[in-house]
Amino acid sequence: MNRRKFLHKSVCVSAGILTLPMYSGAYTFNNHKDLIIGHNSHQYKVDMTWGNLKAEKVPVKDCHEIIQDSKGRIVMLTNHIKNNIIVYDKSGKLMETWGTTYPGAHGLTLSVENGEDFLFITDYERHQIIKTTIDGKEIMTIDYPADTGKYASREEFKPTETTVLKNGDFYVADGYGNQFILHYSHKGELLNVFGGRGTENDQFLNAHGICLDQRDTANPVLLITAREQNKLKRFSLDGNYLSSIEVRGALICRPVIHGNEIYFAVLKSREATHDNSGFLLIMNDKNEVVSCPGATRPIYKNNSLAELYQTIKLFQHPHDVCVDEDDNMYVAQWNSGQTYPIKLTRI
Amino acid sequence: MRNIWIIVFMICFCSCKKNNEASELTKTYVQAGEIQLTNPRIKVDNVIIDTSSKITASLQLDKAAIYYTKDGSEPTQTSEKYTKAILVSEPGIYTFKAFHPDFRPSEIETVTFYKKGTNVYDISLVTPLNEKYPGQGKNTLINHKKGTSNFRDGQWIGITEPLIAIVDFKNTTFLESVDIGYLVNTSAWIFPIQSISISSSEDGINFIAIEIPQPIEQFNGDITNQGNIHIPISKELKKIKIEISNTTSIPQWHQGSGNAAWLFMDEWIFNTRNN
Repeated sequence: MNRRKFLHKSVCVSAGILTLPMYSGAYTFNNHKDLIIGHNSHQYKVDMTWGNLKAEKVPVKDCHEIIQDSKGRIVMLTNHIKNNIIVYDKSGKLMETWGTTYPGAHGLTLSVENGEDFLFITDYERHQIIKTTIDGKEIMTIDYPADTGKYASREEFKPTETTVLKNGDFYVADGYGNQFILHYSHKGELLNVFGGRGTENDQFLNAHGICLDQRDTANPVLLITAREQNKLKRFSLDGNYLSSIEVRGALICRPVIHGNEIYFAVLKSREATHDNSGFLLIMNDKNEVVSCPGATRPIYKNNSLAELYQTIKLFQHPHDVCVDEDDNMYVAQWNSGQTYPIKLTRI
Repeated sequence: MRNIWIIVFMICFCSCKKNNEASELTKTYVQAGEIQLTNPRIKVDNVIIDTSSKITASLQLDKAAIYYTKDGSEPTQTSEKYTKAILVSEPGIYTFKAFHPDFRPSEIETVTFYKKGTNVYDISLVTPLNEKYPGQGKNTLINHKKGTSNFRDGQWIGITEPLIAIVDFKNTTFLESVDIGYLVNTSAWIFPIQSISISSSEDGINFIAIEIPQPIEQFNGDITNQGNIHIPISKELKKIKIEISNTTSIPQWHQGSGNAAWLFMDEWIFNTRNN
């Protein structure tokens, strides 16, 4: 074998070896399977790294609720009093933090008034609702409604959520308290009280979340979750019960309307024998469940939705979702070992 | 020759690029293979078998399959595949596990079936039941019904102090063993049995202590399960006195550290040769 032939052969062998990583690389490439969750039109890939921060600098306890403000920033509420509010940009980069006085920080709602952003925070340990500017200046505080006679003490008032009308009126759901829904004027004057603890149609067990549904602009209604009962209840703005939507098996936290759909974090699967059995749930414009990321496919038989339950151990205790303009979702979790929100990218 | 080196360089470059792409993907999105299946959901008519009982298992997820064993061993994909409801007529341990081509297998779910125990003539409580969780009174423990994982289902009695009861069989009975069923749900402060003392009486008046092994159950995180302590007796007796103590001091890892824990029991099964 002359030198030239030998070199040619050895180069071919080397090339063969060197191409191996390419094939193994390609194989690895094929072997990677991004997790896809959800059903039908609403499917997502999962990013667990979004918004992760250094716990020693910006710690979280329970991540209770998460919203997007008018500037497109993602605003998250935690009950850690080092920084109750954590503001991210959409890429998950930390923008700012504030809030040190909300030990029971639970509900977070955006109110846009004359182009300016305000926040309604409910604090079930302070037994109060606090309205702040977007940068944390307190401008109104609502205490327990003593005059209604429905509360023996302030401790019975443990508000979990608010929703705000265009005229500034707002509603409070007392989901961890006596289960009343309170209607206030924009000045904070109590206008109406309805609901209360019980199993009648117009009552609640864990009236955990509330939102204004104006998808039908001519007929705006209130959507209120009865989480313990696995039901979403519809009420008129003056507090009359209209109807219920049952989601058997799903402890739905609060309704979040985005476009024509309603999104929910589901804290737990009702019959689960293990901890961390939560998932997400999406209803279409007809209030039919179309997708349950992390859980069973929604199936209707004779107009009745089969019981839903977690199928993969991805979520622990989802507590709220925020949907951005690209239809991506941000999931805040309760009791998840101090984890930051999870981002879901719609595919 | 120069061309060959260029080719070699190109091949190296391409293969590196592919690898980088793959690792970037790994970094961005959660991979299916990292995620574990949820346990199959098990439904059972009654785990105390009189004539027969039925067990169903499900995990409604495309491509998921459930396998099971009947001897207490952990199922693999070579075990029996679950396809339809299983009729159970003999006591035993059924263990289920779900598998999927994309996801990590689930944890196991276990169901223990017991033979129906002998009927008890009377049970008298030396210590009172807790008012908060009295179940259906003292007979809850001898009604041939096991509770579910829900401690509020009426088949459980809950106590925070030792429970002492005397069980009367009326006639002399050869008691082979006793099964004491309990619940663990640590997030609800429900912990396992701490200690058991048993004494038997042949004449219904004088009691003699029986030596039995003490329960040992330790864990360092929240769990929920239904436990059972099987106690061999092998004695002729008319009455048996059972004294059971709850966990008197919750371990340090738990938020209730140092407090007395709840003890929930659903059924005491008295096994004789004839039952």
